[in-house]
Amino acid sequence: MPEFAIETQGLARQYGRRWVVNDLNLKVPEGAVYGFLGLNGAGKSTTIRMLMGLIRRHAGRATVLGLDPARDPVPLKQRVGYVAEAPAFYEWMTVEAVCRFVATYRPGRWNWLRAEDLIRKFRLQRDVRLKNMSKGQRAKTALVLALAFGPDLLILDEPTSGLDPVARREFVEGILAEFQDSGKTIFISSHLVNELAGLVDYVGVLHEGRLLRSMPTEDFLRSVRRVRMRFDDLAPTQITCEGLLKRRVDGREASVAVSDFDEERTIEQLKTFGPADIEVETLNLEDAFVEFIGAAERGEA
Amino acid sequence: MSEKPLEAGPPLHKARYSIAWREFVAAFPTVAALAAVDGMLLLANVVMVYIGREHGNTTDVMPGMSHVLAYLSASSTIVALCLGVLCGAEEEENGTADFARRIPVPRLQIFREKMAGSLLAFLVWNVLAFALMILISHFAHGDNSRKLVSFMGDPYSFDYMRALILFTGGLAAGVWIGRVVVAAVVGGVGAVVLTNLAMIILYQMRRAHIDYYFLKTVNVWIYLGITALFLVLAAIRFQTREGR
Repeated sequence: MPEFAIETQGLARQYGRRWVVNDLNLKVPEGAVYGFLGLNGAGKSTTIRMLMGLIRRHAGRATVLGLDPARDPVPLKQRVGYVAEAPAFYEWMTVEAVCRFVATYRPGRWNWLRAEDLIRKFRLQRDVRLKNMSKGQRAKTALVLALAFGPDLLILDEPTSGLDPVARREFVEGILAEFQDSGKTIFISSHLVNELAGLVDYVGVLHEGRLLRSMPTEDFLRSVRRVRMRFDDLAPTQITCEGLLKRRVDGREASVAVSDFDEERTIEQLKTFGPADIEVETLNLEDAFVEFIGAAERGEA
Repeated sequence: MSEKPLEAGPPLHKARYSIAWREFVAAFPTVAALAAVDGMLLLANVVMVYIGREHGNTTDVMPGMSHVLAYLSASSTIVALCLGVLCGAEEEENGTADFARRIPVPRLQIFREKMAGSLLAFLVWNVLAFALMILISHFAHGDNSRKLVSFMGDPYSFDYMRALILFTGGLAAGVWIGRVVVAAVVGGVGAVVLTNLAMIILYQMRRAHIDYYFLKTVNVWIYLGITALFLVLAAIRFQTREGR
């Protein structure tokens, strides 16, 4: 049993002359729920397609459940449940027919009871053709197909983007949490970061094809903080400290977002600007991500 | 949309749904449409002849068996080209090729299954064409089906090799291009150019007084070679193209 469900070394891929994924070193521990975060166009989907063996890598190595996606795509797909950003189906099939179709190619693993249960939970109508379904219903169908065979690893590329808020919560709090309890690994990319906040125990932040951070969620939230300061006079405009992500100055108040936050060192550095009061604020995952990625956009992270 | 309580519905049960079956189902409307057009054209021809006879036209313009066969042979090559192109390009064009790529099936198995489904559709087409010919030969000429079979057995009357070349040509073009209309033009023109090239070579060999039976064998091998070339081209692309 490999220690990491997913492991890449120097993984890279280019389209034309542009490297959309570059020198990616990723380690997803077995049993973890790994949130793969990044802006649109950061390279998340390209990375996932390489991990699924759907596209070739141009450099580096990758193993998923100990298998090389480029050499063993079929054994890999037998064990991995994958939901793509844009689910594709044979449009003329009904939910029931598409389940039968996929079950044919997953002999011995497909669980019909589980499939029925998921269809019920998602309130899908089994006799409706896929071409007549909404985006959300198609996303739910894709999730049924990915979960009903009991995968060892779940790779989800923006799985909730088409779901309504109720189904989204049901998916995250019910289905994913249940899957997580079974001790299996989930690798999930999403731009709806806050929804994953209570679920992911590891995060990776991808920006312009490079992995800027990959660490336990708690460590990430500990490392990115916001510090608010009140001054007796007007706040200085040039407040700075190590790991500064963003500075906001408004009259007598100022705040800084900091990465690699170290309470002792950061407070010490900020005190040199003479604030009357300092308050350290813990950020939620979405705010931490936004502050961090914002600085990366400006080339400051 | 009527909301049927799921609990009350029939339970999902095991059943085989293969890619070959999907391909067959997808090809069937094309086959049926072309068969209907063929049938109507032939029927119109027969009706016109009868009308002509009623008006004293004694010239025998009833479509002869060789005409019917030539017509259906041409139709078959068109059907084969359509099926080949659809097999290679249809799913690529509408994006559903990604669905098959995401399930745990070797790509060449998908390729094989798709071809099997298309060839099954082609078989259905031929059954329909054969039935049509029996009807026409019976009503128009009083011929029996044995005579018809002897006609069809003649490779110059009903050229299946040409149909196979057009099928694989369409398939290869479809897989590489991924656009149905463009692939139909490229595959059709490519197959015709290659077969005509082969015929020119054969013609030159015949002018060189090479044995007739030897040339017939060479002809078959050239056709098989072209078919194999298209198949290999299609298989390479199928194995290596990227998905989402």
